[in-house]
Amino acid sequence: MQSAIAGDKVAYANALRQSAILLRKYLARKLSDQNDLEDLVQEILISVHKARHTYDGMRPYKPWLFAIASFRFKDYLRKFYADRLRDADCLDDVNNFTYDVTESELTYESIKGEIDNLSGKQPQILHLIHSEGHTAKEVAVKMNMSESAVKVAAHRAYKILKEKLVSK
Amino acid sequence: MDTEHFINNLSSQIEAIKPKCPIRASLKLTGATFLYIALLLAFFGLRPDIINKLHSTLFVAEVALLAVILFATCLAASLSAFPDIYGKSNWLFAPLIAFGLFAVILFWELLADNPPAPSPVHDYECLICITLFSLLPSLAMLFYINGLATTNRGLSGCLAVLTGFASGALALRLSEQTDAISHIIYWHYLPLFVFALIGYFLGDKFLNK
Repeated sequence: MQSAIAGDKVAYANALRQSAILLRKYLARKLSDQNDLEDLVQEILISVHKARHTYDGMRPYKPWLFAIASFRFKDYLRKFYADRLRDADCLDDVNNFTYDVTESELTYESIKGEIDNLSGKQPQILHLIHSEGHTAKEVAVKMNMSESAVKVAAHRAYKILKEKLVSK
Repeated sequence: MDTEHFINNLSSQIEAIKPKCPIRASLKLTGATFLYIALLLAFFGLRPDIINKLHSTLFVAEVALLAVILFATCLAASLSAFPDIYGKSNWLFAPLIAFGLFAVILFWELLADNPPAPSPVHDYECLICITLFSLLPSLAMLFYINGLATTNRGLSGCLAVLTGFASGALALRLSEQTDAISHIIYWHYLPLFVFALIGYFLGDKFLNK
């Protein structure tokens, strides 16, 4: 770097190359995106170039370089999070687009035809749960099954219904 | 553009440069500030009882410490404008030590002010004077720091404005005939905290962008 200060272009290019290697190692631990990393390395090299009159070659080079790198990295983070905030949706706007997830267009009655086509005890289990409002435990007692067998049967029925409805 | 190409571009532009030295720069800046204070005093005049006051140890200590604060803040501001604090980060504590000693002297003066000296008829006018006196040195310091590469924007701005404040306070202390120490503390020196905050804000907002 001392030769670079004296105006030696080759020495300066070498110093920047060595700096870029150090910077990549330093930033790799902090950034996962390779493009962002290279952009930031170049930004730091510009800062090094602009600030080279503050380095006299008599002091250790790394503290000087990493002070600039850390400063530019913080700047990058500030911009990054500011951009994310700018792109974020306003809560008021979000409210205009939300819908009540508890209200579904699908009701037991609207897909009763599909339910009746299910095999074995599945239609009766779904009828008891969704039409009559019984719990899995109550259905198990009524149908003389274990509670877990009712839940498994209902789960399989939902899966079959989902596949049928999506394919439609 | 890939980094190798980018490095070749940057290195093709360089010319020999003369590295900056913060110690030499701060000596020059302090010298210029003292010259500015001398000009202010030549214009507004020294306090009429200056010869008598120079026999007062506490007054001389106060003025000397203001000069020390001026130099210490100027030096610290110059150092803080280097990314690695010029390898002398401990020197940034110099203004704190100077301010600490200054507070001790002021406390001593407060104890010695018995019976209390009569308060002047004015109050906030002193603060306005100090602000006006300190504008030029503060701006000069901020301008100088902006030409370097501070990585501590707030701190640099704060120290630069405190340098200006010290010069304004010193000029006023040598020109205004006031001995009421409570007035001096309230209207001359306590506003330094406000100045420090303004400096921090200015530095953070405008330096090294």
